[in-house]
Amino acid sequence: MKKKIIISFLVLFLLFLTGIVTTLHIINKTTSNLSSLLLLHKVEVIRQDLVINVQTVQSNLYTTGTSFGKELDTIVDNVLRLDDRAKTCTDCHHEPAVEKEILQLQGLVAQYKDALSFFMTSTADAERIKRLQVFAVDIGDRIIAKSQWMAIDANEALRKKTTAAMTEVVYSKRILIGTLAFSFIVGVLISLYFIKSITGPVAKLLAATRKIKSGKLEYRIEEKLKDEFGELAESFNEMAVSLKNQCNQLQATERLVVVGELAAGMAHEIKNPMAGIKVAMEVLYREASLDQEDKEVLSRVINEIDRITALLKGLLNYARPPKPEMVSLDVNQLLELTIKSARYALQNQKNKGKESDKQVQFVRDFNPDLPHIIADPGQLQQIFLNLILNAIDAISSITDRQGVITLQTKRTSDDLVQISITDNGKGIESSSLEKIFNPFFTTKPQGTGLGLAITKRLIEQHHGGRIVVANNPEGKGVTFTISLPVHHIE
Amino acid sequence: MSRHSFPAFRFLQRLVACLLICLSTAIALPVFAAEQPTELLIGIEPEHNIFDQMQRYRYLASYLSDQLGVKVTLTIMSRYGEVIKRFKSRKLDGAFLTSYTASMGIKDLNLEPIANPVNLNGEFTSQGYLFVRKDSEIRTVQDMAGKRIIFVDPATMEGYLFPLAYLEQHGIRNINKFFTRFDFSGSDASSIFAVLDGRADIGSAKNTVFNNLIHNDPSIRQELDILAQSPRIPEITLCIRNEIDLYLQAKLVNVLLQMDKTAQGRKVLEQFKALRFVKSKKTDFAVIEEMAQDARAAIAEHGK
Repeated sequence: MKKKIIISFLVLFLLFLTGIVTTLHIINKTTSNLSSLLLLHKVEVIRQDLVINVQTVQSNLYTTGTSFGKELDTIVDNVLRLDDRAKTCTDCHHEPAVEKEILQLQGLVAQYKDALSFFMTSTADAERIKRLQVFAVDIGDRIIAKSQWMAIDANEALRKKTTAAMTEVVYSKRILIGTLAFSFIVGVLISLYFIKSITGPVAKLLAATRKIKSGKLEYRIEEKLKDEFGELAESFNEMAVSLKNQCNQLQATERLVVVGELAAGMAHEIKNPMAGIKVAMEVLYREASLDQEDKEVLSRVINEIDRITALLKGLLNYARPPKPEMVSLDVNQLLELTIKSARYALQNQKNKGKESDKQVQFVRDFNPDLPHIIADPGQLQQIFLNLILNAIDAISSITDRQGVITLQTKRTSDDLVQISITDNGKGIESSSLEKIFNPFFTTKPQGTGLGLAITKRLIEQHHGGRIVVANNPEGKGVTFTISLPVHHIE
Repeated sequence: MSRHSFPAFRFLQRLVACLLICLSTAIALPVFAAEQPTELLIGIEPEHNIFDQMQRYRYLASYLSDQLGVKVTLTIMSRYGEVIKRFKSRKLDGAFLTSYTASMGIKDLNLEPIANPVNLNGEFTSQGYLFVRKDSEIRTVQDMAGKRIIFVDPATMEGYLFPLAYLEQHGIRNINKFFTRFDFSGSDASSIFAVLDGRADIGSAKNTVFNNLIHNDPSIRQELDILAQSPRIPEITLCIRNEIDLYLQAKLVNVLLQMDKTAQGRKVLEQFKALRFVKSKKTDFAVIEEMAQDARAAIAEHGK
């Protein structure tokens, strides 16, 4: 479409340019014709003026010496005016034949002046003066005859030039109208094409938008639209798919929230009776009259009650996570504290004999210039501890190598603080990776499946926080990566 | 009483003196104003072609108008003698005069000669020629007896006064009897052509016109023989009335004499077909007076 628009505009521009050039050419031509006509008119006026001047001088000549005669100064003025007029004829460019005629005319005027001068200044006898007068009059008549003949010739040339000029004007007018009409038609056709090309796809897109608006998220634009509209339709369909998925996800989340709320309510209700049952079981357990076999049964009951209580506590944490109390904190310091807590927990487990004696190595790869973040320190420590304990669980099953947990902190280019906790355990199956943060999903026989779900929930409570998990590239262990925004001190 | 009458008398005296001064100033002012013309009317005597001549003089008139601050208007005469009549009727303030009319004007009208134009050949004087056709067999004054003579105009030195004086010097006083016919051609060129065409046997003309015609047609020189030449006299002289304001006269002389010193002036001189102007003086015309003395009898006989 973009190309089509550019090409169309170029075509229109070229058409208008052609129109402008044609118009300018026509104006130029017409002006030139008019100038030529004006010049011919000027020539005509000059020649007529010349004839009038000669006639005036001739009349002066006839009346000289009579009571109607003009003063010599007036006659001199008239003759000089006549001479000027005759000289003006050569100011313009003429055909060689006309030029020759004009030169002849000027020669006659010079002769006329001489003859007049002789006549005017002569003190000879009357007969001689009369002869001089006749001679001068004769030259004057020849000038008049020649000027009139030339005027007729100029008139004819003027008539021909005017006819030719008018024909050219008519022809030029036709060309101009034709050019303008052609430009107009092409402009209209291009406009119609664009209107059709734009309004059709836009209407289809609008209809599709209305369908989506009305809730038909499964609607797709099936028709193949042209140009950018095709790309727009494709994007629209992708948007509809995405919208549908998000809608489904939202529905699932809403369902989960409802279930969680329900579960939390139930857990809260169950927790109190369970506490009573546990106390009763412990009282019974301490009864001396019971034999050892019964005591063992009671002990297992108490343990299961503890498990149920822990599960209920987790469920409650997930459904109603505590509101974070945000403070500015140093992540490196918090991680250090968490490692200490983890070591302490590890020692307690050893003491209880639940875990192997294998040593866990903590590798610290902290950025010393790490900026502070805004977070709830208690919740964040709980998150780190949970992830470290999971890592310890993961490496407890390996026998071929030393268990290593690497804690790394760094600042990313998009202004986040990134905390990675990596173990070198056996890793997680890729099918399980997708579900690992879902509630009640667990790969451990004793797990509740709420630890990572709560972790994710707590992290998401921190503005812009997120957590991702991925198997390590070498296939040894997994890495949990938490990203939290940097705290900018204003 | 006497104490008071004395100052009153003095006051009266002063009042009368003031009135007299005012009166004399009032009388003198119009006279002074009359001699400060706003326009100078300059006459031109006809020469070869009055139209070309007028055109040449108009360039000069325009220049003088600019330089003097006084409008200079030209008027051309149809006859040589007409200019004297025009001066007498006080219609002219000045004129470019040929030598004889200048001489007459200086003598009879007390005109003041101002300046002479120097022509493109570097000359400001001219002389009269008395000429005949070579095939006419006229070689002396005696050969002229019973022939036809053509003069230019009675008001010309070269075309009338000089031939009369020359003939007088050779004992010819009555030209009516000596020649079968005499005519006035009106112009120097016409006089030359009249002899060339055979309409006259003897002709008189100004040398500048004669030489100019020869320059244009050298064959003329082969056909004509010059029998006598007059002394050299200023050809054209600008003469003005003596009554014109002295300051204006001096300014006019200065402008004319300085013309060739400025680019604008030189351009006008080129259009006027002159190299410069030189100062003219009355003594330049003494020789004409001598010729007039010689020709007095003939002039008295034929008038003009």
